Amino acid sequence: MKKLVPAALAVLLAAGCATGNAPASSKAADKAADTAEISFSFWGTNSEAASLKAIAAAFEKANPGAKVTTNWIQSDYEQKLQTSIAAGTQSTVMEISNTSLAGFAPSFAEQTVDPSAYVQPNISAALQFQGKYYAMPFAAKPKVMAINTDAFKAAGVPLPSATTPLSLDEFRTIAAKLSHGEGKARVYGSSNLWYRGWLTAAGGGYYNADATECTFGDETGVKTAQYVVDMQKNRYAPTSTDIQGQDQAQWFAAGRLATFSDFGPWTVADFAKISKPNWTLVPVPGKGFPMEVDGLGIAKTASGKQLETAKKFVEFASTQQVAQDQLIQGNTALGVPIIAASAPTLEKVLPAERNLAAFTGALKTGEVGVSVAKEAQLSGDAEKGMTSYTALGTGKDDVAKVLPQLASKCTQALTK
Amino acid sequence: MNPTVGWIRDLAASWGVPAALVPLVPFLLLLIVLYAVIGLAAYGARRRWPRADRTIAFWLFVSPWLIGFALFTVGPMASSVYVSLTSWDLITPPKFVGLANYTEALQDPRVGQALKVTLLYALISVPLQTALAFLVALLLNSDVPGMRVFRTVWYLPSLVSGVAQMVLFLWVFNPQYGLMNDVLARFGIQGPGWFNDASWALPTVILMSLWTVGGAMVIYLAGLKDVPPNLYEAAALDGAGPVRQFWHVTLPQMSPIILFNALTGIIGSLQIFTQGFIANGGPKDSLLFFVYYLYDNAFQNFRMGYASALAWILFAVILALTAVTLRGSAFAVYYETELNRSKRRRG
Repeated sequence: MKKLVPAALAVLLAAGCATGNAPASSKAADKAADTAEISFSFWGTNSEAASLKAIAAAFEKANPGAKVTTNWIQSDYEQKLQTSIAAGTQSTVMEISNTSLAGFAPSFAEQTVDPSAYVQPNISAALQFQGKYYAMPFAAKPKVMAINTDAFKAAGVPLPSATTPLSLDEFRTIAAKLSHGEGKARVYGSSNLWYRGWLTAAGGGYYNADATECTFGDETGVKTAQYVVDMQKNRYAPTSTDIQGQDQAQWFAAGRLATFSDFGPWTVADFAKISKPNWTLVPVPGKGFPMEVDGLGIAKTASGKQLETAKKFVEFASTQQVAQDQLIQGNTALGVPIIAASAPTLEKVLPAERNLAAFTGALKTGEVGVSVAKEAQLSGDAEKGMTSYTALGTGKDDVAKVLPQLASKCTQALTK
Repeated sequence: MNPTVGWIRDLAASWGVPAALVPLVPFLLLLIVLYAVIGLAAYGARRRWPRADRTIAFWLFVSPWLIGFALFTVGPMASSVYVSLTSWDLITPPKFVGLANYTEALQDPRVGQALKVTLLYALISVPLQTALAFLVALLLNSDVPGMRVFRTVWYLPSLVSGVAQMVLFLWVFNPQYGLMNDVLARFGIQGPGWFNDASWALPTVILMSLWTVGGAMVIYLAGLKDVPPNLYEAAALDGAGPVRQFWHVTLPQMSPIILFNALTGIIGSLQIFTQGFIANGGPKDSLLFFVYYLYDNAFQNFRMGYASALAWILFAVILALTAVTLRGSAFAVYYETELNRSKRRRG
C-alpha cells in the first residue's frame, strides 16, 4: 500500500510534465487525413473575418464534399497559433503574414507557388523562406497617402500627381506650406510619421537583403530618423505624445491633418464616411511604405486527403477570381486582390475621384521586407530603444548616436 | 501531445466515442485510476487501523481538491522546472540546456532592471498603501452621521482595477489632454510627461496604486471594530490620551492585520503586470516589471525556457521576502492568542 501513493504521485507528475510537440498519434492523424475536412485559422476585424469566411464558403460550394471549419482568432493571433502548434492542435490551414513567416516556417509544409499567377513577382517572393515557399499569398496590403484637397487649394499648393510619388524633400516642403495655427487648433501638413515606413520610402530597410544584419543604423537610417525628428520639431507633423489616445483619421476628417500617410486597404471604410473635407489618394512619397503580404500556410502534420484538400483550398483562395473578389466586402477591404482579374475590384468601391487605383499602383511597386525568425523581439527592442531615447518618441538623445548602437545590438541578437 | 495520451485517444475514437468527447477520455481515465488507487489505500488503511474512520473520511473528502491541486498546480509547476532547463520556442522540440537559462538571467541587464523597478515599486507602494488604508480606516471608524456613504465612496474605486484602471489613468495622466496637467495648468504649473517621462513613469504608477486602497481599508475597518472597548477604557483610566491610546492599544491590536495586509501587498506588488504591459514597459524600461519581462520573453519572444527560469527566480525572491517579513514581524506583531497560551502554560 505504501508504494501506491508515490506511484499515484508519479503518474500525476508525469501527466503534468508531458510537454513537447510530438505529432498526434498515428491512428488519430490517419483518421483525420482520410477526410476532406480541414480547419482554417485567421485573425482580423469583423469585416476581415467576413471576407475569409466567404472565401471558405465559396470553396465549399466549388468543391462539393469538402468542408472548411473556420477558427477566427480575434486577439493575440500569433501567441495562440504558437501554443496550438506546441499542443499539436493547430488548424490545417493558417493565415500568416510575410513578416512572421520565418518564425513559423518550421511548422508549415513546403508549397509549390507559381509567381506568374500574381500581378508582380514580389508578392510570391514575400512568402519564401530560405529559398522555399512555406505559404501561398492571398492578399497584399500596400499603403497609399490620403490628401486633403481643400487644404491644398486653400494654401495654393498644387495637388501631387495621382500616380507618381513625391520625393521626401518635396513632401517636406509641401507639409511646411500646409502647416499653420497654434495649440489644439494647429493644422499639421503631415500625420505622425512612422519611422519604419519612411525608412523604406527613403530607400533603406530594417535588415539587409539576406537578413544577416540590422541596417537601420546606417547612413540612410540616421538621415531618415533626422528627417522625421525635424518634421516633428518644426511642427509639420504631430509627435507621438500629440497623438496619444487620438484617432488621426478623425483629425483628418476635422481638417487638422492635410495629409495622412499610413493609409492601408482597411482604412478605406473609415474614410468612405468623410465627405468634407474633400480628399483623394496619391502614392506614398519616395519608394513607398513596406507592403505586407498575407499568405496561407499548411500544417506540416497534415497528410492524405486532408493535405490534398488544404492544398486545393490555399490555391483556390490565392488564384481564383471568385475567392479574390471576396477580399472586398461592401466598402471595406481585407487587402488588395493579387491577381490581375480581381485587381480592379477595390477601385470600384468608391468614386473615381478618390483614386483607389493608387492601391493598384502601390501593389505593383510595393517593397517587401525580408522575414526574420525573431522579428517581434528584434523590431520590438529596436523601436522601444528609438522611442525611449530619441525624439522619434519621447527621448532627447541624438539619433546619429543611438541608432547605430541599437542596430549593432539588433545584429548581435539576429545572428545569435 | 504525449504519446500515451494519444494512444488512449485513439482507443477511445476506435470504440466510437464522439469526437468532441475524445479529449476528455484520458483525463477521466486518469481520475478513475486515481480513485481506484485511493479506494484501495482507504480499504487497506481501514483494515489495518479499524479506528481511523474519521481520518480516512477526511482524506477521502479532501481528495478532489488534492487531485485538482496536483494536476493543475503542482503538475504545471513541475513541468515549468523542466521547461526552465530547456530552450523551447513552442514550434521546434525543446532542447535540454541545463542551467544555461539561469546563468543567462544572472548576466541579463534587463533582469537587473526588472528587479530594480519591481522592488522599488514594492518598497514604496506597499508602505504608502498600508499607511493610507490604515489612516482612512481610522477616519472612517468615527461615529459621524453619513459615515456609510463615505465608506462606500472610499471603497468604490477598488472595483475599477486592472486594465480598466490603467486605461483610465492613461487618460488622466495624458500630458497633452489629461485631467491632471489641465488642473496643474490652472495653477500655472507645467505638468510633467507622466507615463511618457522615464523619471516620472514609476512614481505615476505608485500614485495610481493608491486608487485601490479601499480593499485593505475594509479589512482594517473590520479589525478596528474588533478592538475591545474595555482596553480603551482602561487606558483612559490610566490617563492615556488619544495618541497614547493609538500607540499602546490600537496599533498592537491591529498589528496582525497590518502584517497580513503588508504581506499580501508585498506579494501582489512583486507580481504587478498590467501597468507595465499596457505602458509597453515604459520609456527607457522605467516600467519593466519582472512579470511583464517574463511575459515578454514567453509570449513575444517565444523563449519559454528562459521565461520559466525567470518565473522560478521570482518565486525565490517572493519566498525570501515573505520569510524575512514573517521573521521580522515576530518582534513587532502582537497576538492575543499567544499571550493566552503563555498564560495557560504559566498557570
